[in-house]
Amino acid sequence: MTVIIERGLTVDLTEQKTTKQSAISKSSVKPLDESEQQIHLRRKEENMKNNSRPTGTLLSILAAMVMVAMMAGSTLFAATQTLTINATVSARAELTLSPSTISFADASPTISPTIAANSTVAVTANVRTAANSKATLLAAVSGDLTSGGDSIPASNVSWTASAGPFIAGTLNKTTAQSAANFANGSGSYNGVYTFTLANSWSYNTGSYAATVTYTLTAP
Amino acid sequence: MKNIWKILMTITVVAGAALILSTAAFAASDSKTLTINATISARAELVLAPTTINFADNSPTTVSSVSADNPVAVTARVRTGKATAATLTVASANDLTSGSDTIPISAVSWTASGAPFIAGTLNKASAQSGATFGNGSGTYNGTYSFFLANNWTYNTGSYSATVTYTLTAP
Repeated sequence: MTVIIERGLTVDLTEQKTTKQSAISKSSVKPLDESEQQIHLRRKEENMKNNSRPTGTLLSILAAMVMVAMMAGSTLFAATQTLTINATVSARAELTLSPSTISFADASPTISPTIAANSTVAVTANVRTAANSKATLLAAVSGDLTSGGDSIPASNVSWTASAGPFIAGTLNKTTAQSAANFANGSGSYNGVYTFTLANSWSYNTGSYAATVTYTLTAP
Repeated sequence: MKNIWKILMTITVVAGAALILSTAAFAASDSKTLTINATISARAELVLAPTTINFADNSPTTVSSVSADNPVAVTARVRTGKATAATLTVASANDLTSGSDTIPISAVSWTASGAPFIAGTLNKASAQSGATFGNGSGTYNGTYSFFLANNWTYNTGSYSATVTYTLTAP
């Protein structure tokens, strides 16, 4: 049995042998009886409790303060709600041509093999589509330029484009022609078409007209 | 009650998703028309080359008809109505003259190659037709070859006359 005596000596009561204090003789150490040992141990525990009380009290106070602060905060300042924002963006296409009528004046085919239209055509294409799909712009003409029974082939009308994605082309009454090469995704595009008519002595006199339909599609 | 609420929520979510998907699936398009007008008026262009020809002196006995030094290439470009025909006339107001001497302009004749150009003889009294066009517009190319009827009666001299060709597109 091992007990702790005052001054920190450890004494093996069974063997009556000290381990550290050689200066204390075996005969000078009086073994404690059992009741004394219990008293001693109780006092020791009480001392330990008393010694540890200030730290424990402080911690308890701090914890209480934190709790109070949290409760006060949750009640007065930290009311939270989530807001889900949804937006629907659908495919859209807006096409503007200005002016919507152009004219080719009479000219000598010898002097003017090609005739420029009286005006350029400003084109605006606004497109909303998916990031991996692209819009198209087609120019369709259902027939030749006609004047009564006379006609001028629609394929004699061609155009140039000022800037991308708009492109040059020639009217074709059997197949709609592409008028722009759009990149993938949405965007707003502005350009100018310049139209010319291939002049020819074979044209009969008359006032000719044709209608071209431009279709902008956002897939 | 809880189950009904769950079912309603599920229906709402499914319907919403379907609506979003269906909206995304639709393509959008916009069309505008462009009217193209062209005015074609009546026009006529005539080209003769060369614009001067010469008849060299020859014996009427051996050369009764003197050929000009060059044929004359003629190009007629016409724009007219589909139902109308162009005309080409040759007018010579005077005979060939050399001072006071003359050779009758009717002594000059021509042949033509290439339709619609036709052969003829100059006439100071009335313009002669140099072509017979069909209706409508077109470009025509041909050649006139000129001849002078030679005669011992002609006085010596350097004769000259001017002939006017007029192409009309009505």
